[in-house]
Amino acid sequence: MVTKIAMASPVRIIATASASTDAVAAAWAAIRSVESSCNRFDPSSELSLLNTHSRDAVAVSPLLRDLVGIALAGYRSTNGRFDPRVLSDLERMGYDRTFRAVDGLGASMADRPERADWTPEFDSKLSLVTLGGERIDLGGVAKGAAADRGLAAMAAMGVHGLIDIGGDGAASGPDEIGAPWSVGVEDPLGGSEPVAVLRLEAGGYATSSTRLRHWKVGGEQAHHLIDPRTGRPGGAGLRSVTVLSASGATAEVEAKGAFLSGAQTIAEYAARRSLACLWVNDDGGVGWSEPMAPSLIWIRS
Amino acid sequence: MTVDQPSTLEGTMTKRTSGPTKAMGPALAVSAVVAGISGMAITWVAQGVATSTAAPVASSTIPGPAVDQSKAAQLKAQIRAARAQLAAGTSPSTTQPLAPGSGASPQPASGTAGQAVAYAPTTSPPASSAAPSTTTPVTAPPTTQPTPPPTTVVTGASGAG
Repeated sequence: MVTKIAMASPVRIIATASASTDAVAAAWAAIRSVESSCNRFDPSSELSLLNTHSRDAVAVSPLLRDLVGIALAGYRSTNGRFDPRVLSDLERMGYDRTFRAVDGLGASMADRPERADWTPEFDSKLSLVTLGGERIDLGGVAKGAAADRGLAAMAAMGVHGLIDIGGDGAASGPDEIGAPWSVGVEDPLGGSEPVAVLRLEAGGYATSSTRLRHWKVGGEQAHHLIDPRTGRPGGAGLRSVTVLSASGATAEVEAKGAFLSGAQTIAEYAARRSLACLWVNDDGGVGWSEPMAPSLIWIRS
Repeated sequence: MTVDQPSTLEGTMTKRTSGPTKAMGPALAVSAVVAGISGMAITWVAQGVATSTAAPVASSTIPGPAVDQSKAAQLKAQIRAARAQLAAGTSPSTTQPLAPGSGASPQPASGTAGQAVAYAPTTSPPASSAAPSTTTPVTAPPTTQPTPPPTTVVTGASGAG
């Protein structure tokens, strides 16, 4: 196992073959490519350039074009619950710097007008992207996509494994003895024991949680999981949502969409979308959807 | 920044010589796991069994010296592998699987509001009298052991920067 730091998070690369140094290096290079392309806090990143010229057609790398495409697919599949344009809402609430520096001073949770549909344009031949006038944050999707691309880089060399980036990630197959990976679900209320343990053969996993990224804005509690429909923190009654999906990127999208459905309707939402989903309510209660049940190997009693 | 860069393998089970293999039947796989254990109790839950038998269907305590914790961790991993094998469709149980929501999945003990929403038994009879279903897929109930099994990774917020 190799542990490094990227996207302000610890990155664990676990390869299932013994002679995998080159494959791990390839995975790491893929992850770093995503990071350097999508870092909104780096004014020289491709994403920052695209955001600066959000009304124009901007020539971008195939990597960034693909990531914007993934974000658009997530936006459409969740009917707008996942929307990378929440960047302006995050900034309005004070998350305009790395989270460790957020203080909420001068921030506002005031309502804002409803957004129009997001319709970015792509020119595949010239690798041009036109955002449509609003800046975006690829955040969690970039982490999931980085894990996916890292696994693809290893698979191209005949090596499989698991890549975890700050608690979200993906696996390209079972572990070295052919058994599923065990994914613990952190207690969002701070308990030392996981609330559940999931088995993962292959695919992505992601958790949307309010545990760490929350702060005060004018006496109100804010967190980073913004409901694009209101521009305010969403997911009432929920502390965390964990999703297993086909890839790391889609797990990120689905976890966010499910979280924003809130405690009252998450079971219905997950059932309607056939999501493998597990959630923790404000009171610590744990629920899960039917597609998640086969993956549950332990639940805290 | 490289924090550590040891071997590329995760886990310690690659050298296992007596554990279950995919060629073994489920009963043989379980026996192999038990044979490797000394001085600790093991319980496991068969996949897809009715709630009335969803308490551990097999239990074994073998007298012996104090358990080596690292050995215990290895054995837990072995048990995990055996469970995976069982879950692959070779369940030794002869009982019929229960439909989701019929109580096959254990609920958090307290049963407070908001828990296990998707599996709250709303329309099904009590678990002890639940009729087996032959039309729904097997839903493996999670174990009810008091301590969690070893995990490869933990998903949540604490790992994020």
